[in-house]
Order: sequence, then C-alpha cells, then structure tokens
Amino acid sequence: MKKWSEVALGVVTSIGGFLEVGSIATSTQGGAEFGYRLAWVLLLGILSLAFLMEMTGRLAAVSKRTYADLLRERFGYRFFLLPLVAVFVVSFLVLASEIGGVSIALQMATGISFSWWAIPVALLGWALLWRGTFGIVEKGTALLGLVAIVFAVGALKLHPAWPAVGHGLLPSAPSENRARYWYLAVSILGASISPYLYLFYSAGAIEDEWTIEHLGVNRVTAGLGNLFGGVLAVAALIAAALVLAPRGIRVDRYEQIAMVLASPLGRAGFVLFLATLCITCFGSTLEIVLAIAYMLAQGFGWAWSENLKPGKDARFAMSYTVVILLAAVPIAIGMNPLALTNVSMVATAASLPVTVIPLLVLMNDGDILLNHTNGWPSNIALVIIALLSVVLLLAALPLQLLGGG
Amino acid sequence: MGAVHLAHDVLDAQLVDRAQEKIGRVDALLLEIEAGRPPRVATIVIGGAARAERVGRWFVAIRRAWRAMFGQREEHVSRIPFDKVRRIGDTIELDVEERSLDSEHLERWLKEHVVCRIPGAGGERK
Amino acid sequence: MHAFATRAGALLALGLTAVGCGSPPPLDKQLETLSSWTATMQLAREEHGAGAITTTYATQLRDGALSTLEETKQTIGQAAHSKVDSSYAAAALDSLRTAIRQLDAETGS
Repeated sequence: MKKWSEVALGVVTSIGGFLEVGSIATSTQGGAEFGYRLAWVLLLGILSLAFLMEMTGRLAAVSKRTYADLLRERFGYRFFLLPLVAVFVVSFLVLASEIGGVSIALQMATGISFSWWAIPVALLGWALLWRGTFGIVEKGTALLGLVAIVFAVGALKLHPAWPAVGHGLLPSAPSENRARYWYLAVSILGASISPYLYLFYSAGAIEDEWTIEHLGVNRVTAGLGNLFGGVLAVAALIAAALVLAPRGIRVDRYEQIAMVLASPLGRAGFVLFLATLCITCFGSTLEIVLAIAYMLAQGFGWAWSENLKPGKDARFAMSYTVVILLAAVPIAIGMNPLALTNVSMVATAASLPVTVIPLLVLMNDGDILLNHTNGWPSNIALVIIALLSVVLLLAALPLQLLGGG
Repeated sequence: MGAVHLAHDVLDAQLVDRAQEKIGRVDALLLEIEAGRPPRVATIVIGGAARAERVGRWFVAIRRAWRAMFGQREEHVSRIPFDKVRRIGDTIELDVEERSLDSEHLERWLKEHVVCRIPGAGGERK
Repeated sequence: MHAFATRAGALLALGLTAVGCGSPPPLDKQLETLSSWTATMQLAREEHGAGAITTTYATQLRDGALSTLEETKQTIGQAAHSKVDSSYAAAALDSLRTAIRQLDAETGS
C-alpha cells in the first residue's frame, strides 16, 4: 500500500516537474511558429527522459549511490570534472532562467518589473531549502505543480483536430524555415532532457531511501510521470498552435504566452497560467539548485542531505546558498528572460553527451547493478539517446547562429 | 579480506568515520617504497591539493590562483595510515574521528563562522 | 590540449558575438515581427474586452509592442532597399501604431 502512495507521489512530482520555464517557452514558440509539426520532437524528448530517469533511479536503488557518486567512483576525479563543469554551467543558466520565469509571472500579475522580483524569489527559495526537508520540497512542489493541468484543459477547449495532432507526432521536416525549425527542435530537446532532472531524481531516490524493492515504483514513476508531464507540454504546443499561429503571432516576449490560455479559458485561464508559470518555475528552481549542490557534495564526498540541518552539512548548505543567490543576478540586472531561456536550452542540449555516455558503461556494470543491469531494450534506447546527444552537440552552435530568433 | 583492487575499490571511494559520517573521498593513495622491500600501501590522502595533482600541473596552478584570491595559502590535507581502514565495501570505513581531520577544516570553519550564524541551522535532523 | 582550448575559445567568442549583435535582420523577418505584434495588440484588445486579461497585463504587452516598434523603426530603413520595400515597411509600422492606439483606447490609457 505504501509503495503505491510512493508511486502516486512520484508520478505527481513528474507531472508538474516536466513543465517549467524551458518547456513552456520552447513548446509555445514551437506551436506558434510551426503548428503541430514539432510535436514529435517533444515525444522524443519525453521518451528519452523517461529512459534516463528510470536508469539513474535504478542505479541509486540497487547500488545505494547516486549517479554523481558513481561518476566519481567509477571514472575517477579527472574525468568527473568534465560532467561536473558542464552540468554546473548549464544548470546555472537554466536556474537563472527559472528565476526569470517566476519573476515574469509576478510581473504580469502585479505590474512590478521582473528584475525586482529576482532576489526576493531567490531568498524565498533559499529559506525553503534551509528549513525544509526533502519531503516538503518534493511533495509541496508536486501538489502545487498540478495547477499545470490548466494547459490540458485549455488545449481541449480549443478543439484541436486530433488527426492533425497525430500527424505532428510523426517525425517530419519542413520545406522552408529549416534552420529555425531545427533550432526549435534542439531547444525543445534541451528543455525536455535536462541533466539536472535525472541527477536530481537519482539523489532523490537516496533521500527517500529506495532499495531493490522500489524498482517497480521507479519504472512506473519515471515512465508515467514523464508521460503525463509531457502531455502537458504537448498541450501547451497545441494551445499555441491554435491561438497564436493562425494570427501570425510569434513569441518574442514571455508576456505573449499568457494569451494562449486567456483565449480559451478567459480570466480563469489567465490567472491559472500565471500560477502555473510561477509555481512550476519555482519548483524547478529548488530542484536545480539542489541538483547542483548534490553533484558538488557527492563528487567531493561531503556530508549531504536535505533532511539534515545545515549545521551538519555546512559545505552542501553553503553551496546551494551561494548558487541560488548568484543565479538571481542575471535577472536582477535586467537580462532578457526569454533570450536567457533560449540560450540555456540549446546549451543543455549540447551538454548531454557527458552525462549520457557514461551511463552506457554504468548501466551494464554487474558490480554496481548486480543482476539488474540493462536488458537489451534499455541498451538500445540508451545507444539511440547517446547518438542523439552527440548529434545535438554538433548541431547546437551552428543552429544557434542560423536559427536563433 | 581477500584481494582488493586499489584503483577500482579504493581510489575515489567514499570515506566514512567511526560514526558513519561522510568525511570525503580517497583523493590519493601513497605507496611506501623502501629499498629491499616490496612497496606497500601506506597512506590515504584526502584533500583538494591531492585531487588537483591528479589532474595536472595546469590545474594545480589554476587552483592556486583561485585560492590566492580568497587569501588561502595553507593546504588542509589529511594523511591517514592505511592500517586505520576498518572495512572496504560500498564505502570505506576508517577508524578516525571527523574532528581530528584537517581535510574537514572548511566544513568546520563554515559551520562555525557562517552556517550557525543563520537561524535554523542547528540540531541534527529537520 | 592547449591548441584545442585556443580553438574552442575562438569559436565560442565568434558564437557569442554572432548571437549578441550583428547586422539588422532581413526585411521579411522585420515585417513578420511587426505583423506579429500588430496581431498581438488585436488579440489583446479582444481579450481585454472580454475581461479575460487585466489592464495591468495588457499595458505590459503594449509596452512590449511599443519598444518593438521603436527598435524596428531604426533598423527597417537599412533593410528596405527599394521603393516597394519602403512602402511595405511604412505600412507595417503604421498598422502596429494603429493597433497600439486601439489597445490604448480599449484599456482606457
């Protein structure tokens, strides 16, 4: 019985967790500019993330160590620096964008410019991490994040032509605006497959003291959770395709996105959009800064846990303190939140190889995973994702130059 | 204990003290080499300087410059005799106390000067 | 190692420069931006009229449109190379101006 409540929680966490500033921005930009045609990219991202999360979750449940722990232990300190630096830099950019997301939501609600909100938001996030337990952070953001369901409601109200949507779920290539199309494809993948997500998930499995008994829970959580969450991102794409695309409206500023839900759902849709943006971005802020702190602490062997008082893991606590406050700076000095988000999504996509390729080794290591190493379906999926990550790395810079708005 | 693979099972492994608290990772291993005798594993080294050396001279230089910015000159490295190893498993248990380790200096300093000055930091678990 | 770092650094600098600044976008891109914001103003007027969005928010959209208008006014002259181009540009700027005014009328500002 307890297992099923854990499954429910895990699924719920992933629903709200999937949607955040990156997926909201990239899905709506995609829908506005290309209708349903980029839906297949979202599907690809959702499936990839589901596989990666299931794997890092399994690593933690069986070996009692997180993915970051194993990156140091199995590959050595020298190699470990590569994923450490890549994840730190890229996650920092995404973190700054998430703070931007919360700030823009508050600006749209109150009229007070977004740059004023950055530091207060960072301080509130810090306070929650300082005083709250892992359970509070996890459950709180999960339950509040359910407000993101408003995207599904809005999309349904717009009566999409489902055959056309289905068509969009199949891979296609456009005949014009190619550079822009593939640029958006790369940024959608960067928004969906973020290293901080599967690193955080792995650490969370240890915080929640998962064991081999939890492997089933792990599979359902990673699979269903991301599926449901991904559906919300597809809903955002559909809503943008039906509200913005027909009018020729492109998303140049975050403010334009609110209209996507205000159109079908009126004032309620508008308010719930702001709530969704605010809450999901705030939840992601907490997740990302913890993921960065976890990686530092686990890589260097410090004491760490969100369930410990800061006095017991001072270096870990100071890591998240410093990082969250520094991450507020770009938005606080007025950097364009949408531009920051777009760049951080492409950077994320480009950084994937250093955290995906090591999994090819770890997931087949019988010393670590005992008799729970990858079966051939998982290995095939992993190889495909690894190849995809290399393609993204090679394509990212050229596409940013050619297709970056 | 049977045979232990140094690089695979010891280097970079998580270390815990008598109280099962995490005290860093095995950043380096020193072998003692005496003429006429076979080398033996003598010391576990914990510390940023030891880690940096494994990466390369350029990294040691960057690290020195970075630390100079904060006025840090003293290195806090712990050298623990290998005979303090109690158990090698998922983690390596050492028969030491966290209090006695120089490599935990930053943890103690931060705790005393920064963390415990902020409300809500004290105590064991939340 | 050293050669790689130098090359990577040069590429990064080139990339950042290209992303950050550059020659003004081509004419059709700028016209698209103007029509996108014109349509945004029209949709905003509809939604405000229906009570779906707040005046506070509509004002922010309008400010966005206005700053886009100002920016594009500067750059569109450089991209329009013929009389026909210039007339398209003028018409597009005008549409946006009108749409902004209409939203202002709707929100009473």
